Amino acid sequence: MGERVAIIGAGQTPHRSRRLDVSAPELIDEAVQAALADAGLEPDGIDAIVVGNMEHFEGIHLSDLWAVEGTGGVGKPHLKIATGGTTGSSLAQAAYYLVAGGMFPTVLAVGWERLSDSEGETTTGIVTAFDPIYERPTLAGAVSGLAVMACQYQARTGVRAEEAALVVVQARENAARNPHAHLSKAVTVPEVLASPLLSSPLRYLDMCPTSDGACAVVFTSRPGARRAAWVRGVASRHNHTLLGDVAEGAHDYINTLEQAAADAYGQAGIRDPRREFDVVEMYEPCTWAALEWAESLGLAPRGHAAALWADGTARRDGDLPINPSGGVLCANPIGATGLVRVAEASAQVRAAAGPLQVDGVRTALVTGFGGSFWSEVMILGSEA
Amino acid sequence: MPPDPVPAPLAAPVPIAALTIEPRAVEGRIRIPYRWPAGRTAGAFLARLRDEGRLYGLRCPRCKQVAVPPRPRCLACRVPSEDWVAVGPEGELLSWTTAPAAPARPAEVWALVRLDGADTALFHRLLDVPPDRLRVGLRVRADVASPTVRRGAITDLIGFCAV
Ligand SMILES: [Zn+2]
Repeated sequence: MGERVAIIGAGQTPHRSRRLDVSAPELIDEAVQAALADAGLEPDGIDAIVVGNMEHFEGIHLSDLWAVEGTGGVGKPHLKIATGGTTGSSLAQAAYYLVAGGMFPTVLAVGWERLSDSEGETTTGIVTAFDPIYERPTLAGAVSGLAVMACQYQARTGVRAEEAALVVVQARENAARNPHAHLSKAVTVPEVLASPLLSSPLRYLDMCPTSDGACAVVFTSRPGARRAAWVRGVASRHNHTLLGDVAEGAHDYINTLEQAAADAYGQAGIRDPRREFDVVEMYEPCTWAALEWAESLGLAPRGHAAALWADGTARRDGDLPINPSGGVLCANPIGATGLVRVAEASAQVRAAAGPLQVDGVRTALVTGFGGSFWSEVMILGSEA
Repeated sequence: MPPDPVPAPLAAPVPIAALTIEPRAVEGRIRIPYRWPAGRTAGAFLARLRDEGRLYGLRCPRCKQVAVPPRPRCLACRVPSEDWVAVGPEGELLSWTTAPAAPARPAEVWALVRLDGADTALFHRLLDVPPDRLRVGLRVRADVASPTVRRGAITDLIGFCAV
């Protein structure tokens, strides 16, 4: 397994619809300085940096060239990673591997995005990820992949839209305590059901926003006396390319989240995820995905995840708090989003989550989602 | 000779935090034309769609599963697939999503359809299916453009209609 790896600090910007007061490097700098301060490190305490965003959103190719003025990467090993929605969780995994492999004692992971730079064109940017021969000529929206998944889930389980809506109602409640959240205004189930239809069954309030923001997390094999969240499981599962291959019903359909979770649970010795995790920071791009993925993670029986939100289990004061930060539904700077999940979960384990702190967190589950439904999982714990 | 001008004294430095920042952005637009090759496998699929008006998949010699669109290697076994088989034109609706009209496009329904004889789904348009008929398992039929307008693109398949 290599070196034991701990997270000793994390920092975020406030995530907002647009940050016109700062340039991209200034935005990154805010998160990096906050992470260094949280870890009690000077810049020379960082041995290597991994940085990521999705450059089509900013129209800045070779964005790592620009990013160094924010990351502090000049004169250091500085690697860029871009894996779509999972960019942030891939950054965490890469930083973990670099430290666990003994290559660098301390690695800084930095994720960022400025979706307002191509305001209103986020979907246009995402469509450039689709196959130009088979899918782009007929595919008009990036939402449609999540929508057909939600349609299948709805047909299979009979879950109603008002049950899915509870996910965002709770997320906004939680985000009201989170100074970094982009959306923190309370919403009600009737408001969700009355919001504009994007792509059935997904409505406007079922979907994550587009945000500007950055996040940085410090991974080290030498935490010293610092408060540490230890990485106890790391897994990633990629998927096929075309939507028709990643949909249920395709002959080689795989549930990448279920597979990644099984792998990570094995590493961490998790047998009963519903009882052994104290908090979950899940990458839920829409309400319906949160339901399906809570089931893939083994947190609820198939078809019954809605009960976690309906009966209060997933509330911040419930038996299994899910996204006490408000989650992706309340802030989504894409290249940072997955890393924000790691930052939030590590703060929970380190008892450093301030107003978001859940009592007695010892073990936390983090997920990342991206591309054609591929998945990443990280498990953090208070003990190595 | 005139005397050297006396430089004006520098203003006392102002901490950046005390400055009023005027949000300022530079606007730009990137237009890059691209040309993406379909390649051998998709190229053959699209040529037959154009010339015959039919859809074909590739069957894996090992697990016998048929991929549509065809892929040069089986998705599961990773062995080369060279056995072309005609699929459809009818199939089964696996999932759909309805997007209301937007400024840039009319209302559309997209669907995942598993054609008869295929083991994967094809993502494409659904045409003129009344909303109350939409259900998983609905029988649909491929609507292919007339030979005179087919040009060897996936849009030669206009979409799927209810049977
Ligand atoms: Zn095969």
